[in-house]
Amino acid sequence: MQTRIKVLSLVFFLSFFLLVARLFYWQVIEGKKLSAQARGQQQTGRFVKAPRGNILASDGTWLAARGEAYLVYAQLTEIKRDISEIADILAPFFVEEVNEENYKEVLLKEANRIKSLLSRDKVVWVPLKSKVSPEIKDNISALNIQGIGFEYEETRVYPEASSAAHLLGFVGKDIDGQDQGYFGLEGYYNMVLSGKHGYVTRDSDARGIPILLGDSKEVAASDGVNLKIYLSKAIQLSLEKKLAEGIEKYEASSGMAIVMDPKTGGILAAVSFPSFDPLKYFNYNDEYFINPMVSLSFEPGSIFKVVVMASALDAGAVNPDTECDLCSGLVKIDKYSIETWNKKYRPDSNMTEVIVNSDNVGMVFVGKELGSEMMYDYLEKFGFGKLTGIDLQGEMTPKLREKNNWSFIDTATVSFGQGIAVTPIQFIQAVGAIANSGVMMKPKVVKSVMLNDWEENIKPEEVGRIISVKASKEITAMMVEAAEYGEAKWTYLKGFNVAGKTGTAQIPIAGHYDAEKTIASFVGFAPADDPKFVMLVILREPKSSPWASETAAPLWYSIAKDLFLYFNIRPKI
Amino acid sequence: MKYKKHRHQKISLKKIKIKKNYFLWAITVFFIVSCIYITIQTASAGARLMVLEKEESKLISENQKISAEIIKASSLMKAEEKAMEIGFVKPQNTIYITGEEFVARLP
Repeated sequence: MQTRIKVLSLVFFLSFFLLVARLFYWQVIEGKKLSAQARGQQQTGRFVKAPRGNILASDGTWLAARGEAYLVYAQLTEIKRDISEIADILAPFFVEEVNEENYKEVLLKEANRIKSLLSRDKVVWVPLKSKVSPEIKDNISALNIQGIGFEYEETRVYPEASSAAHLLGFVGKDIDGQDQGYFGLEGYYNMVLSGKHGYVTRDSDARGIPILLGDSKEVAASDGVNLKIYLSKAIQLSLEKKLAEGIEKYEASSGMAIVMDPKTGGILAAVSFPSFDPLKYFNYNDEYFINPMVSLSFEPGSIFKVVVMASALDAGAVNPDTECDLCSGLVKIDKYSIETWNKKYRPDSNMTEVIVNSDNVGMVFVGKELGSEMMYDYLEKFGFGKLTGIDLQGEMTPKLREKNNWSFIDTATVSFGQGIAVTPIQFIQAVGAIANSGVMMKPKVVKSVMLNDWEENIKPEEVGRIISVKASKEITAMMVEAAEYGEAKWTYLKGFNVAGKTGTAQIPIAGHYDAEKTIASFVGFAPADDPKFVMLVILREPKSSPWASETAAPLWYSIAKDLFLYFNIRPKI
Repeated sequence: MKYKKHRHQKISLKKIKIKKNYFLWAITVFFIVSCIYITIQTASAGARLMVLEKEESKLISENQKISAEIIKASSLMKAEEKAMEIGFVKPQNTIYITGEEFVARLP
């Protein structure tokens, strides 16, 4: 009896020990792993994607908007049909815009790609195609292929197609496969446009129904803000059409145009060709994404004369009636000879005539009177050599030559716009200061930020007074004369009171200037007494004529005709 | 007499005990019923929540489709194309006219 009790006790003890040991194994050794598995079964978690903000034109209509797209995926374990058959069915839906010749080849390639994805081992889920339109999704869905599913994705929609592509930039992917803005506004304002993703975790039962008494956490997503920009669609589309026609007509290799409001610094329109389609950015090389307005520099040539003359007038070095005592012939500085563009010399020209005739020798006189130190100070004040701070990604600036490094030939050449490089945005900002009675504004693209019912205006930023009101009036009067009586007078629109200046700059190549290739430009604003816009047009290497007066100037006036109507500017006769 | 009194006391204590038991049973049943009721309610609320969430995502999707239509319709480029199709032509020359001024004009 005693032995039986002892055996039974031992069995009980051993059973108890085994039970405790097993519990220890489950609770302590495997505890974390098992509880994680349990959490995985009971808890569901998902990201709540924050919708990306839209980019709106000044009238509140869309330039870049969020749109609906889908990721087509395959749940490999649920596929019942033959994978070759599925690949052949899906391929035509995934192939985009190809010409008839390549269609069969592209289709076969796509079918093979899908087939290889569907035949993958040791995976249960494979993505087949991302950013598929809702129409294609509906068509595939109607085929009811078991194992093929869809997941919502956000995409970008551009109702005006590739219009203003350089200003907008595009949305691509970062290294983690998340949406990220690149270049232009999408790049500069990526953080605010993206918003902040939220997440939801909660306990759910076997059918996936949430258990309200269970553990749940929810962090709401913060939507990306909308950007309303100064850009006017009407001006932008007109500018694009006219510039494209101008490039073709004057056989230029590229071209660009900017329209700015001198009073606010707001960019009303900006175009440069060649451009790209932001929806199909992956079909373009990196060089297409560079915005020449902010990322490329050029030698301005004669349009720069207005900046140097404005500086000299403000400094009191010259006045409109000052006579040029160098203008009777070419000027020799060291080994260099400086001539006028047409080799015609007008002795004792006054300063207005120097600008009207775009006289290089006259500008050497102005540079001499101003002096290299003062010239440097004014150029710096006008914003050359430093970033304008425009709200676009990728702005660069060429450096100004060191102040104590200016020789007389440097001062002489800079006075007529050679030997200095500027970006188009720097230049239009400087001319904007002349148009705005001497006060320079910081160029801006975004006018206000909006989210639901909240809107906050971004105030125009004043950089400061660069020249006096008197000097600005004097240089404006000279520009009005230059537009009416200068070499582009044939294209002048009578009565519109345009202040303008042409510029034909040679292109520096490997330490010398190309004898044939030029950059033709025209800068101007109207009406001169109360400017509504300032516009810069640049044509690179026009072949029909190298001269700005025969290329950039007529193009400027052709665009200006539309702007006069838009701003309700009437001729004064 | 003493025995009778004691017996009477015993009977009333028994009655109190029975009443107490009924009360405890009632509370227990009440709690059990409440528990079942709340469990059913939360389970059905979970299901309702799921239905509402599905409805919300359906509405969001519909809303996006409508927004996409509005966005497409707002395209100035498309409007221009349509205008050209139906025969509108951009004026080539703009004529500015000045209105005659009649105010207090003397002969």
